[in-house]
Amino acid sequence: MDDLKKLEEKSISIIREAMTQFKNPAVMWSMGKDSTALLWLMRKALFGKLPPVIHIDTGRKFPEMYEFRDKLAKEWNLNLIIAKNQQALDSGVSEKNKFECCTKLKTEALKKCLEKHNFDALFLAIRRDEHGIRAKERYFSPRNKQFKWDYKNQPPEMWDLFKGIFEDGTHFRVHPILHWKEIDIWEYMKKEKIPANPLYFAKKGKRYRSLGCIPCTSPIDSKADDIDKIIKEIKETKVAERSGRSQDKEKEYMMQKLRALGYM
Amino acid sequence: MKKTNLVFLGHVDHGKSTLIGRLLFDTNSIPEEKIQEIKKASEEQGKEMEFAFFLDNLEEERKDEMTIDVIYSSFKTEDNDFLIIDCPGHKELIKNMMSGASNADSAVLVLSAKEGIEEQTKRHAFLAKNFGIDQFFVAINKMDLIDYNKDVFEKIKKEIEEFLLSIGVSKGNLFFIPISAKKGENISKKSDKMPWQEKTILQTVDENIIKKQENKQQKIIFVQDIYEVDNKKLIIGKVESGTIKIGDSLSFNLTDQDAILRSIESFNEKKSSAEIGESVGLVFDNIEFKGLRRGEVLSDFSISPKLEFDARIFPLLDNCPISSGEFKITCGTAESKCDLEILRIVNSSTMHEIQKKDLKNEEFARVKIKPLDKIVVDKFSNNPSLGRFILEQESKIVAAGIIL
Repeated sequence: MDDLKKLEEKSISIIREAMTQFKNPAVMWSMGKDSTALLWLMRKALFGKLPPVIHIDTGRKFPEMYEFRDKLAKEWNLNLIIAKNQQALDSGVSEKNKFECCTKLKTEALKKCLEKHNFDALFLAIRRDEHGIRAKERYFSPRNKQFKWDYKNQPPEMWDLFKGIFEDGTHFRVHPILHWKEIDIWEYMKKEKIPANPLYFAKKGKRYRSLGCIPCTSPIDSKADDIDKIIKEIKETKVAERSGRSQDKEKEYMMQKLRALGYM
Repeated sequence: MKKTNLVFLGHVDHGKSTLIGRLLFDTNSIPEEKIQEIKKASEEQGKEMEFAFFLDNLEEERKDEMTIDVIYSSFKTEDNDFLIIDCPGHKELIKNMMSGASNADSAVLVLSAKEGIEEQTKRHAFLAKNFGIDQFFVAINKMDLIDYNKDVFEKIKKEIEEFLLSIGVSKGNLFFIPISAKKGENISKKSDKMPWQEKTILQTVDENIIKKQENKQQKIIFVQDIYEVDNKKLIIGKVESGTIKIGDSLSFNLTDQDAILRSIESFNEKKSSAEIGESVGLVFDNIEFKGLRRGEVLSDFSISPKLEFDARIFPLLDNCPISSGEFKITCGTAESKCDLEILRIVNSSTMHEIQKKDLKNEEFARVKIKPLDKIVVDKFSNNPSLGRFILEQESKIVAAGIIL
């Protein structure tokens, strides 16, 4: 087996394990490359039958992302749930306070969606190499009654014995591609011909390397206008993948605080 | 390029995270932006560049100068692609250390030349050895604090070597490297302060690292589930060992039947064979589905399900002592309630036997386990995936174990 195949097989096994252990799972889709690759893996693992797909809509995404979402949702026949914190949007959330904005429009929206649908597990496409805080995650990661991630006291995860045991929590986060790297995702997208959002490809010397909301995501200088050029660029760069994402900065441990509250 | 998982073990404050930080830095594995951020974070605490901060990303970890949970990072050389697993050194956090070590191929055991061997130095090595790690790179760190004294190095080396040999590591799988992670001596550049040491730690690991042995001979598949796809029942499972091919005759060890493998299926694809690590959907000729469920084990040899076996268990949680009684055991995909009887308790660092009834996380025990339902198991030394398990009690994973 080549390396990509090994990554894929491990993810498929984790997906199937979670589908067996949880009663009412759902998968989170941001329309970015990682979660789109995750949907692809889940289609493979589950012979095309996906659980409900949640998109957390902050109302501040790029138009290309909404187009991509609607197109793929139709093609793959997704049971799409759009979670939006309309109340917060109506009362006005300033994008200047990034912490508040992410918490209200993403974490709170997700919390409400979970309460409504009673999901007991969420598949998420986070990877260890994205951020030092995500590198601390388990494959099966419980969230407590307050929706919080108790990063200082995570349950053990021995060998490949993944366990969704509820002590007193609300739901589990399942991370089937935790062990993948950015370059693996692109190589896999190429090999499997997985559709990618057009924002990733360079136009007029700029491209997005990581996708989020418009106010907090900036493009990088790049000439990579096809997938081969993106792969080459990532192999050569010394710049971090999420350097264009403001909630990632080390300053004041923002990512840690966001994630502790239930952020993705 | 060889992919290996390398775990860093050792007593608290002996320099695991600093050594990894230095290795990542020296192998250009850290984005420039992160280096600038760490420089700033170090300055804010009034320090020179703190290499451990590349790993310790939590605010609490930096303020308290301790690793709380396992963190994974990676770096590459020409021949190797290393997944680096950094573990906490505190006894209270042994569950995190064990989670990290359980998936490693090889270990770097870090110990301070100033303090010498301490409690977790031995415990970590012993636990790792029990989980199947056979190779140890012993990094004797903080040589700068003892003026790069060769005699002190030799003395510590002899002592830790004796211990590692006594727990069953073979001499050919042991390497000793004097280093200073903080000063960058013998990490990726040879130190002129220790001319008597020939190789750096990076070079030693790069040239000698081995992957943990996998069982490639026998065919074993764990059944995860049964799916119905296009009106056809598929046995969903993972190949744990060997390579299966269409036409193979396989034993169903729980439902006690043999059958010929007719097809191997995945989404929109059929295969003629599947190797270790692959997730498969299987169709057999003439099998009885009644009673067939998750937990079934398929193999090309017959293993009779056991209702009693001896094991060695390692408690995972701090402040959660284990006594003889009822637990839930998970081995592969099989689960059962079980009765557990503690036979003998030993301290996992001093190796002293202790006469008492309940087991704490600084100890291990030989136990007798009696599952209430039949489960298919084997000795860990024969088939690691069939010989390792976890125990639950009151919705908590309380111990890990290996079957003797």
